[in-house]
Amino acid sequence: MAINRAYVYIEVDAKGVRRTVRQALTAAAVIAPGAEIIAVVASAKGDADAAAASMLKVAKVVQADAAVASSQAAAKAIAQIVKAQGPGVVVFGNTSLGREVAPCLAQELGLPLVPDVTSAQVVGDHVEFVRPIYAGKAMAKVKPLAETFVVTTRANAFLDNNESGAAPVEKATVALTADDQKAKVVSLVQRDTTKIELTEADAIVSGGMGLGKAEGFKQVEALADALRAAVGASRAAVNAGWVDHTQQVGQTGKTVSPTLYVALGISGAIQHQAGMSSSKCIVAVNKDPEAPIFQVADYGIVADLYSVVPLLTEEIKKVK
Amino acid sequence: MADLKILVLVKQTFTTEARIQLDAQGKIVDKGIKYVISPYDEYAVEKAIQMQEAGGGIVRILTVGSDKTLETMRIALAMGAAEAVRVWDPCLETADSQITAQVIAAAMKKVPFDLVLAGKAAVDDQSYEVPARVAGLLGLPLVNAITSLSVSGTTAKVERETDAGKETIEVPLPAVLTAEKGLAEPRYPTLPNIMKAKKKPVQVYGLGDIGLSAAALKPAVQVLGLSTPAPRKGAAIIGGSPQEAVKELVRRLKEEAKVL
Amino acid sequence: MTPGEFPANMVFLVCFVVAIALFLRTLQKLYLYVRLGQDEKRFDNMPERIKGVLLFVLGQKRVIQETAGVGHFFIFWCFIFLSIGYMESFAQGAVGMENFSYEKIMGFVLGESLSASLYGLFLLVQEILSVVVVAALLISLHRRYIVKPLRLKIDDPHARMDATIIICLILSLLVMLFFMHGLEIAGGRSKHLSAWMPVGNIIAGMFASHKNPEGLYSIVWWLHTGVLLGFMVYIPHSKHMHLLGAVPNIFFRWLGKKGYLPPVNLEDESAEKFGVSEMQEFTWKDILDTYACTECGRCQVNCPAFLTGKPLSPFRMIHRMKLHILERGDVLVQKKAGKEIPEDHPALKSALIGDVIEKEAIEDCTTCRACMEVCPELIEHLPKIVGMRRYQVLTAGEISSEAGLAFRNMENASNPWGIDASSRGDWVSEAGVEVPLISEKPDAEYLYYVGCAGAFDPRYKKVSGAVARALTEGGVSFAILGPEEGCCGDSARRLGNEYLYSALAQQNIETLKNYNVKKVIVSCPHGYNTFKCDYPQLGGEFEVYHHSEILKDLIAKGKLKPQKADVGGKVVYHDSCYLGRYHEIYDAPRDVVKAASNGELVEMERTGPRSFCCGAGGGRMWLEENRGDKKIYMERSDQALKTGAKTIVTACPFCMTMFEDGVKEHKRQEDVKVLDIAELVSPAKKKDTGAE
Repeated sequence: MAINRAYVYIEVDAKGVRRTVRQALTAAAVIAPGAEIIAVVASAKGDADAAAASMLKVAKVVQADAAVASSQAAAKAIAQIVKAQGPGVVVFGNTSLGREVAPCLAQELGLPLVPDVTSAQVVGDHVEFVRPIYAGKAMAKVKPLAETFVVTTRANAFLDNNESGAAPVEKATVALTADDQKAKVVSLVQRDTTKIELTEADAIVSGGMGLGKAEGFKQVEALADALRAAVGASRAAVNAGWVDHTQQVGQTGKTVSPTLYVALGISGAIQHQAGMSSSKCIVAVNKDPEAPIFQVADYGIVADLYSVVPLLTEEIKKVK
Repeated sequence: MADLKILVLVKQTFTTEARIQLDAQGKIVDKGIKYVISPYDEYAVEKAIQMQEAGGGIVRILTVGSDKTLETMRIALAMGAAEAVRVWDPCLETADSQITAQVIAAAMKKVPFDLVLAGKAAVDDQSYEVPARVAGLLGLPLVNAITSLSVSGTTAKVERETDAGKETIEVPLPAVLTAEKGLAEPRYPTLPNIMKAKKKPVQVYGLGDIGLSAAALKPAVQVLGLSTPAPRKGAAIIGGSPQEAVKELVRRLKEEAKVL
Repeated sequence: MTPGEFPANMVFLVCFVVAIALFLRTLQKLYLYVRLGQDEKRFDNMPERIKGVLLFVLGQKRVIQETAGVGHFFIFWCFIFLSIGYMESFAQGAVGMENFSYEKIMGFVLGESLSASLYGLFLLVQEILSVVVVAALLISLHRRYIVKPLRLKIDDPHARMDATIIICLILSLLVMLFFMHGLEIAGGRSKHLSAWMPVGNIIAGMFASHKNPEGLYSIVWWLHTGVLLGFMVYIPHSKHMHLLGAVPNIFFRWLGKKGYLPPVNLEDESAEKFGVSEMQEFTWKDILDTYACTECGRCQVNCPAFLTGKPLSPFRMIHRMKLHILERGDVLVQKKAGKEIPEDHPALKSALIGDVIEKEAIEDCTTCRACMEVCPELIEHLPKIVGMRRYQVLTAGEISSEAGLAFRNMENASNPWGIDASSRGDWVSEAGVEVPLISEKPDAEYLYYVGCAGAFDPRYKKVSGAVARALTEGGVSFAILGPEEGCCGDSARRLGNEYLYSALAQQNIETLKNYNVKKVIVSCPHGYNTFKCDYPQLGGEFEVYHHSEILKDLIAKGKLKPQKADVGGKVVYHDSCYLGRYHEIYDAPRDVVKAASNGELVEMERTGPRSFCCGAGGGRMWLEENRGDKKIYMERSDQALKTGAKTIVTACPFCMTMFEDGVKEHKRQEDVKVLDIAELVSPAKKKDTGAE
């Protein structure tokens, strides 16, 4: 069996089609090799989003012709488009919106959902996915039990290798009732990107006593800026009065589990570890090679902070 | 609404710190593992109880699980839920999210509700799937990952953080709302309430009781196998000059860890 | 009105009877208030109890541990002595001066001249003691109004005024005594005894030419008697209630283990309430405790919370509890007798928790036991604090998020950090020596109970490794439980979560019993105390040793010959509260330090039984220290750094953490090391790579 069509649900931010969605496009090609890839736009600001999507290298962009104000309405709209265009897999980026629309769509179409996959492989007549469970402490290999299905892909699991293109935009008539849009957004406050909540942050840079002085936190903040990360601190740094206690990570502070945790000058006493050891990737910079932080870190640099951090900040700026 | 009937969907999971180990058959070893209410579900339970305390109403909890879930159900009851409903059939041992959603939706026909709360995802399979499917099956509106909730009349006003920013959403009841961390800080049950919880009613339904049969429940996804990642073995120390080390670190963060 | 003559004797008798009646009535009330408390058996071991009264009351053992207490010793004994004279004086007031005096009575038996000498001697002693006491009282007024030591600081102006009134009353009694002596001499009645009354003589001189010294004597006598009777009526309402409370309180003192906390009946499923939120829910002895308080304030100047500016003061707590029970006692007694009392009765308005004792104060306690160690009245502060914590946690559900997290972690992972329980035995891979599991070596003589810190804390894992190496080197047959070990429950219990503690404790006891364990070595003093004092209440009786005791023994027997570790100069040992004050283990760890280091062992100012807590006891390890003007661990590490020591040695994982934090925050981690005694003695790792 070959899958003829792969739909990718488009989300757009200020910089164009979101990176996770572009990565989902890569996934779509892996899941359905040779299939026609269709970008689906079902959003509140349809035209603008469709214009952004048309710059992708896809077969076409299909845009719902109605304004879509809720996840469930988006699912209804996509379902109607899929029914009209012909069966295929539907791929979402595992974003906050994607993981809300995807299961609604799966239910709407009566399809399996394979959420948050990190890899996909066609094996004979089916596709096998790997997805992390138990917060990454185990990986499950799963296969959907239907010819077509809905998938969401984990951020950064697939490379964004989409070249730019000029896809035609096709409008599709969708019929949405008031019942489909019961949940109404009454206000949206743009996120303050300058201050990221520790517990919500995807990346965190924390500083400890190894910084030696309060001014050392400027280095921490600079690296955090480059990584678009939140700034955390060890208890000792908080007690020294260098930063506010709301930034304390640890047993008696905040418990965090970001994708990336960078510990600068933090020895890693258990009280600190209790608050951050479940982070996905931990980087430690400390001049003491015996510091316990290196036992929980994935990558470590044993060096003076002030010789490493400015370089790291510059290097990160280059890749981000 | 003084007589708001809140139904909270809860799942029993391993404690989040449990070490996941596989046996020779590749199955997860549950010996010595402590079970808890999945943390996001617990936020939902707490919020429901706070609403019950503030304005009356009644909180029921619903779970799909064997009698091994009784202990965690008692925790929700000790926190203040009035009663619990448990649905079980041995065929549900391997149920996927779609089947679970079907079972819950069927059971909900037996339980009165104005508002359905659940965790945004269970911490074990992290699929964000069951509440959305339940909402779809029952034709209810859905809002995921809320951080605040208030009900006036028949409308719920919720807030949530999305990638776009902070959304305030109004949704008519009945609706399915799922909890994000921050919705409510779960209480530590008091001892008299723990004692009382032992006497609170737990209704148990079989599939037949809710109009389903094992044969009618078809899985959507098959698990082919499980694996565990290699244990962390201390940091890979990156040596060389600061310039070299930083370049190498960034390369490995990008290519190996895939976090940049 | 000459004392003792009609109608003066009638007036005196009426006053005397009225005063006694008032006194007894108050005494009865106080007794009924005590009876409001819960049952507790304190009638065992009578010889020990009587011995205690002799030692602590007559001997003033605790009182004289402080210089200022020596003054009290004299006041106490002076008053005992004067009381003998007061009885004579009362008798004279009833039957007349001429008809009764000790001198006369003794004269019948001993003959006049011997009797006069003996009586004279009695008067001389009275005068000498009185002079000393007048001086002591003046010093105490000077302390209260000029020196104003922290010890006497209390935010209750009445308590201060009360103390002043008492001092002035006693002073006036003594001054009047001198005047009575003087006027008796001047009046001629005691002329033959004048040589025995040096002060009286001086005063007699002043009145030598007075027309009517007898008349003046009568006036002073009435005044003196009035003050004395007034004093008797005033005593049970004042801080001098301790005159009544002290003897029974010391008699009924706790004679069991110092780490004792009363058990809670968790089996009662119908109970609506656990812990204490009302005075009558304490035991009767707890209520009696409040009467015994002398308001000396020694507890507060040894309290780490008070000394770092936190709301808790044990002195203030006991004082306010006393006022609280006095305020509501009558109503509670009526209620107990079945009388309907409206909920909003004015006497019942204030709440024990919140109004009398702030919730913060209850949280502040580190259970270091310093207050109980110094209290001259042997008041038991800790069971009260834990009792109220139990109410807060078990009944009110008032739990800080930090404590809640620690509880959940203990519940789910059997350790306060929430680290996966199955990895509890993983520390052995870093121990550098083979450590068998008890399941592999069921005939091991000792079970080494490592504790949560020894199993999980990267810093303290080095200590458990060092202990394991030392035990191996010393030829001790031991094994560990590994993943079967659980949290001891100390922090849960001392934070008031008896329910969680009991689950954790029962699990450990069951496991140990399954392996037929008899002897246990514990590294953490908190676990040590829990095994020793708490587990027996749940049927877990084991022979328990702290690793310092075992190490000392191995060194003494020559089985362990430690190198003299280079400690870089002076070395200071910090007494863990739960090792020192709780179990009087002061010498063993010091012996180990001396045997295993080349440095001079110095002491901090607060050391041994007066050691200052690190701040982590009583479950405070898991709570942030947000109140006060200084963190306790900063204060204690200050004290340690002041000795000039280059190595601070501890024998407790909590103290270790606190000192490491303190030294780091004092920015001294470059030149000051914090080590456990085991790390000093322990042989290097067998599979050592050179880093250790």
